Amino acid sequence: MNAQTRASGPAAWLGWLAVALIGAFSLGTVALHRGETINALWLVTSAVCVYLIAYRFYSRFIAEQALVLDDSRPTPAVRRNDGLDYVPTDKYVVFGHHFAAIAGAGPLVGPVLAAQMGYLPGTLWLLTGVVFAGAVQDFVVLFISVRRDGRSLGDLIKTEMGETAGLIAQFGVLAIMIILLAVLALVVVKALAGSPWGTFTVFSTLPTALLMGVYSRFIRPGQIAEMSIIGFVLLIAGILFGQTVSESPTLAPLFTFKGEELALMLIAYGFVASVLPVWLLLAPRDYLSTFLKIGTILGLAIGIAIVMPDLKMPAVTKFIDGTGPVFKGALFPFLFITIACGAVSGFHALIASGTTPKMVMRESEMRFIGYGAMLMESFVGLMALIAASVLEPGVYYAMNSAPGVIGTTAEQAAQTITSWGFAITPDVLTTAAKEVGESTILSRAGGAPTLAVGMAHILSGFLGGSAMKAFWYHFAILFEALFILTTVDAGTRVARFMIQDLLGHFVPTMAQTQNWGANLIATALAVSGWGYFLYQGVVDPLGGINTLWPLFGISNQMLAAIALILCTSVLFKMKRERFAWITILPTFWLLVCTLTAGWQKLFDANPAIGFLSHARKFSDALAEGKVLAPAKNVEEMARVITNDYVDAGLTAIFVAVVLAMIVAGFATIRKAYSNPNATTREVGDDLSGLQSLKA
Amino acid sequence: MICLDCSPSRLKGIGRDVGRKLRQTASLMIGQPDYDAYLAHWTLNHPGVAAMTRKEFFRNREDRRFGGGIATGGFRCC
Repeated sequence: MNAQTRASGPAAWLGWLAVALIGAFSLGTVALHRGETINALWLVTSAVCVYLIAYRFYSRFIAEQALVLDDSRPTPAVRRNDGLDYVPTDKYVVFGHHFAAIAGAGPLVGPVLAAQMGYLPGTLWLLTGVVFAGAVQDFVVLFISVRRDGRSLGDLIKTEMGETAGLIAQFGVLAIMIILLAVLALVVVKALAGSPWGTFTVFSTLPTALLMGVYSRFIRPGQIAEMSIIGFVLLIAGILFGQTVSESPTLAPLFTFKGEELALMLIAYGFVASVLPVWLLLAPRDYLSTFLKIGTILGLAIGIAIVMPDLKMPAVTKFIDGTGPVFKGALFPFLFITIACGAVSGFHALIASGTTPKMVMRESEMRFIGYGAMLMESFVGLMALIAASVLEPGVYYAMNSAPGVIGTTAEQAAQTITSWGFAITPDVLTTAAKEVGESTILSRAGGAPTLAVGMAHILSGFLGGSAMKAFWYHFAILFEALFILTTVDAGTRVARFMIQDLLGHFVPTMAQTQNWGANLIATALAVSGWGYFLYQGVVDPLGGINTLWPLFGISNQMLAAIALILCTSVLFKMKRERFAWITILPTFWLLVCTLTAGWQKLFDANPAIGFLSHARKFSDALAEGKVLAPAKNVEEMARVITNDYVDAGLTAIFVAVVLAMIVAGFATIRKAYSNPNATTREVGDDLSGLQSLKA
Repeated sequence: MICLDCSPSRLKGIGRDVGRKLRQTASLMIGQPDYDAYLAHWTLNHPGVAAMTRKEFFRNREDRRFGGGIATGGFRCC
């Protein structure tokens, strides 16, 4: 009440008018600026103003008018308080928990790749996407789950849209998971290939985590702070000693690996790590990477505020036409696929229906937690975009283009990139590599190294100067690799449970999670699933990220569309269809983008975009007995063709899953619309149907 | 809330409160809910039944976080 009276006073309205004017002025400056460089603070200011206004007005409208949050309704945390899973928790604490759970590697990679089109398209999509799609999805899914005892997305789809829809969605989530793990693992491989410093540092985290695991299990159980500090000190020691390793002629070769070798190691690691007890490796690494991530995000924000770097990337580059070296495909639809997390991410629907709904104390707090945390994640995406844009465009393209495009020497790369209109000399490229302690920075695709150079640029600006650049670069690489390895490990486990669950429908023994045989089979299936795409990506001379990231983006956005279809269905079932445009608008946009992108990845005549035309190009050549680069012989030609068909098949599956969900959504909505009464089943209603599903 | 009564003891109280919340947030980020809240809840609702010790609680939550599907919090994404 207090907030309401305060906010409606004339002084408050003047304040909001000021925010709107500052935001409009900054955004105008960002959009219309056509000089050499622009200061990053303009981007930050416009983003903050947009977030404030969206939160104050749009999220409040959704909370009060559309969803009608009601603090007199007890939340699951209050009703089922058990001190363990269901715990009424302070809203700031839940916010932190929720933010840490939704913020992963995604918002750091996508915007970096999208920077090839300039900083403006990415910024605009990050802002509009989060306000109208991403934050809305997170918020409404959280609301639906809280009203239903904190049930998971799969359960919610089953109970609100039918058993079949639930099963299809479950299958879709598994497929997305496999692609996500493959693409994240590929990011690590790309960052570590041929980098003894990075490789040593990342390897050193293994004994560190094991030590922490033993410490927390046997020596000082539960002392997380102590353990994390020990771990952190060892990590930094790993980075520092990594430099010695990289400069030593005897040690360096021991930690210098090709992409293929690293990929096989990662696959083996993924298998072993996910069958080990969690306390030994996974949990301690999870602690380290979580705190490191939050700390790094804060550090980057402070860095940008203090250093106030200039963006050297143009606002818009010529690559919006789809010919860019980082990924192929025009601005529409591929920008909206490339930047998934940060604007809208389907995975958040899984988090918002996971642990968070079981801790919300009052319904009205969901607005701050669901909508607010996503705004913060969008800001992380924006910082990644800034970090990529502070680099010389020539350096950016050299790092993110495949060797098949720019060649393998600094001279060739400089020549090619200069010919695109981004003047750069070979010297600048070699100096840039030397500054961060690497032998080369060419073709380090995947986002992480670019972000690391950008972060090194920003962080060294206020901590340690250029002498510390190499340290910050490897710190950033370590932070991302650690994070991704944790995701690979935890994700393989989750995929294993999903596989066991799905196979359990047909072979009941497979569903027994305590059964070692079933466990190993399901883990092997999960690992070979993402391992296949990882290896394919590593040997792909076009860089792999080129192929896999759009697949990941399409699948993630499609999951968001599925979640939003659920939200729309529920709004209709609640008889609040007057407000259904809130979720229909983003659903429609995501469907347009993902289906167009899916269609182009399948059928585009350009072999650089369409999987099938690429396969045809290689088949035709093979029939004439020719071998096309990158393949070196007939077997490799055959493998390229097989990969194309597998990728095409996967894309087709994603499209089919979404089409099925659209049909299910329409059916649900029609039924709800023709019924004069609300048909939704919230907790407090008859839950007998729900109970049987859970069994 | 802006504090109108800025006495040292009041500030200390606020500082302690913020510190406690920060600690709770950090623990919850890695899947460890507040042990004191659990203990209070347990003693109130299950009188006569021994609650888990701090150590048992820690292990229970650790196993729970990673021992299930996607909804138990062990997995995060993007």
